[in-house]
Amino acid sequence: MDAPILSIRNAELCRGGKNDAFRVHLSELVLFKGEILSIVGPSGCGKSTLMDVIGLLLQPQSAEEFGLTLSCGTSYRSVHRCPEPLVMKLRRQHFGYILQSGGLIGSMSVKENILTASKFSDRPLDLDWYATLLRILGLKDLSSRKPKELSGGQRQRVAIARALVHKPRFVLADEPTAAVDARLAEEVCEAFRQAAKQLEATVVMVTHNREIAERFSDRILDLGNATTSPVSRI
Amino acid sequence: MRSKILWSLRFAISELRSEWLFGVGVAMAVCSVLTPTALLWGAKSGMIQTMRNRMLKDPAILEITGQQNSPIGLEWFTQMRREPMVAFITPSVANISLYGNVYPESAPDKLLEIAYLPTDTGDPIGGGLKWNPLQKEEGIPCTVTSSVAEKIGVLEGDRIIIESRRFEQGKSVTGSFKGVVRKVLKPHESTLRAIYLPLPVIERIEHYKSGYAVPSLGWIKQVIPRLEIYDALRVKFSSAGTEGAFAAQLDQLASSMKMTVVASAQKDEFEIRPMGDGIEYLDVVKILNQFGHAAPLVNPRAQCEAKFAGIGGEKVVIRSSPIGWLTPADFAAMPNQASPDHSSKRLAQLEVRSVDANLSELAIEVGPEFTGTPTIEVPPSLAGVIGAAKRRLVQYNQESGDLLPLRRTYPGFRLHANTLEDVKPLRILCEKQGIEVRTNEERIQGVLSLDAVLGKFLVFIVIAGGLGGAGALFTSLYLSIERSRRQFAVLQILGISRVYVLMAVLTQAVVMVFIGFLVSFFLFQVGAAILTALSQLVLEPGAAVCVLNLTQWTRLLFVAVALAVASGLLAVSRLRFRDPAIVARCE
Repeated sequence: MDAPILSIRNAELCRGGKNDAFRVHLSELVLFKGEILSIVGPSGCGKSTLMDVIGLLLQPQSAEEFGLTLSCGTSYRSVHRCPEPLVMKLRRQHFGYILQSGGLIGSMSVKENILTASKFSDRPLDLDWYATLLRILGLKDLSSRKPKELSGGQRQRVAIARALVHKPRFVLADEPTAAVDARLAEEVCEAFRQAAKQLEATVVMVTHNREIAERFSDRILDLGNATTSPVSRI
Repeated sequence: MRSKILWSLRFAISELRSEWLFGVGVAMAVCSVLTPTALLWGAKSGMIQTMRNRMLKDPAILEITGQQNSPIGLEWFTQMRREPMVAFITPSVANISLYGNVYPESAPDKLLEIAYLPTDTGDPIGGGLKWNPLQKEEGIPCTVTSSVAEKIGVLEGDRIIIESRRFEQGKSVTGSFKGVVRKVLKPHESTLRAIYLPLPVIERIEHYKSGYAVPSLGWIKQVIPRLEIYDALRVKFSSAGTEGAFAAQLDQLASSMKMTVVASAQKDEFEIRPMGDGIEYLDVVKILNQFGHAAPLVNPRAQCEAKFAGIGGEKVVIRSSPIGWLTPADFAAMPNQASPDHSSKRLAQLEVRSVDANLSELAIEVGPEFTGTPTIEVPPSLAGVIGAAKRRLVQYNQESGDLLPLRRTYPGFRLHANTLEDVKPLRILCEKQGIEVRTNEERIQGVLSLDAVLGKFLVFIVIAGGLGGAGALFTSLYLSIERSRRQFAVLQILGISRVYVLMAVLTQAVVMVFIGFLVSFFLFQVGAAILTALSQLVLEPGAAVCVLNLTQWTRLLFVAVALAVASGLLAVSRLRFRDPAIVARCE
């Protein structure tokens, strides 16, 4: 097995205000290159919080280890202690995000939306990969359309393309199928899985849909199962 | 970096396009503040401008006239020419020399007494005429006021004769020269009965009146100066045996004319030295020449200190009469000459040595037979020149042949301020330097005070309008940002720096303000045209009641853009996410 590219050990995760803060303890989480990890569990169990910590959107309050190894060989032992500009740079260059409802910029075309992530990643656009993405995700003929002219499934595919266009090391997907029906959800997930596998990106997906998780993931982390879950409420 | 900035601008524009109604609304809000502000400012500017234009129709409004002052040095004029508030300045000569007569060349009977006014380059009234000594024949260019032109019936291009009077041996004589009318002033430009002449010409008129010869204007006769400018007179008897009668005459002269008589080492010579002013050379010479030859004496050492100015160039030796080698012909031309044996002597050589471009030294080389004595004997005309040189600098113009005292000071001047606002500070500046002046400040001050009061009123309106506009802009941008919080949170999740978001918001603000500004500009033109049309009856032809110039529009745009940027910054300062993921998910 490959060496882990992300590992978090004994971390205290916290979200919210002082009085109504949501606090959980993460004993250990390790991610490997190219694997697809689905995080499932009931509402309020900390799925999104855990994903945001993995995606460098939320800093753990404390962590014994928060290691990150990049493809270029650079590795960080305590990412949560890195300064904000560096964290932002890491996010831009090595992470891709798929939001629940797409999170597309309504005023921009499909092409502009997709290329936004590429523009800010400080990496040159790989036109072949861009074309491949459009083909895999079925967006070839939609590039000049505005998000409001697309169906829910198409919007989600554009979000996937945007998350993958700059060839990130990690892809975080937050309920990517929540806004589409079951048939479309399968289509979207299949396209997503294909693209991610081709990129060898590590995918972390939060979903309520256990069936989708089982079908498309290499590993499932069930935070609702107290015996196996590494996350516990404090 | 460039592609990120471009993305930011494209994002801003695409957001504006997709929310164009919002953009139009904000632009109209800006317009609703800018248009009345511009109209009020334009009305104020138009009103003040009309009043100023009315005043400026009379160029004399900007004139600052020197009163009878103590002599003003050339350095002051140089300093004033460098002063940014000064549009034009020229020295002027004494008032007594500023009057003469003029008549058309073709109609000598239309003689009119007029005033001369000096002009020079940049003169807003006099036409900035230049003098060239070679213009004597074709006529010296001059500008005449409408009053003069009307009275003597001349037009541009006509030739006129300009006259000046002086006294020679108690008689009034007239010197005249030809002038050509280059410009006739319009009635509103000057109410004076005057002609404008180049300053050098007016200076020469003054010199003529003082008794000097001015060959460049055709006035070649030099009034023999008063005795006071000579060191002494030497009388040499023409024939022996007249000493007794001469002594008696001398006693009479000495008592009546305050002279002392000093006997020379040679028995047939006497020196007569003046004790005070006012001894007419001719009166004395007339008497003395009954006995022999009388000629002025000058001290060569004193002459050596005299300097000529304005010659320049190589070493110059003046050889033409009346200066230079003295020849028998020179003596023959002198009045009351009676001693041909003296005329054969080389008495002195005048030499001008160039010191620098503008200054030459006058040296006198004494003839060998006079080297042992402190004086030299020269003809009266030369003595007059030397006398002038003794007292001050002399300017020799090779082109015109004029050898005249050089002016280092002037009693007056004509000064024009650049703007109405400059008149008062220039008056104060002159007064601080002890120079009394007369201005038209009272007329100007009324308009400037009104301008200042209206200006303050306008500033109040602009501040109130600016606050309203900034408030409207801020509210609009703030609401827009609040509405797009989720979108901005997504951008932050994607790792897009706040700088680019800020740039986009500011671009939107500036574009909306600019559109509002353009609409205001258009509405202003319509409003101004309507106001002008309604005010036709009280306006002069071509005048506008509501005017804003390019600078004023630029200022207005600058203020509007500054408010847009400030409002945008304030609005974006609200856009700070502690947890963008929550915002992106929840809102």
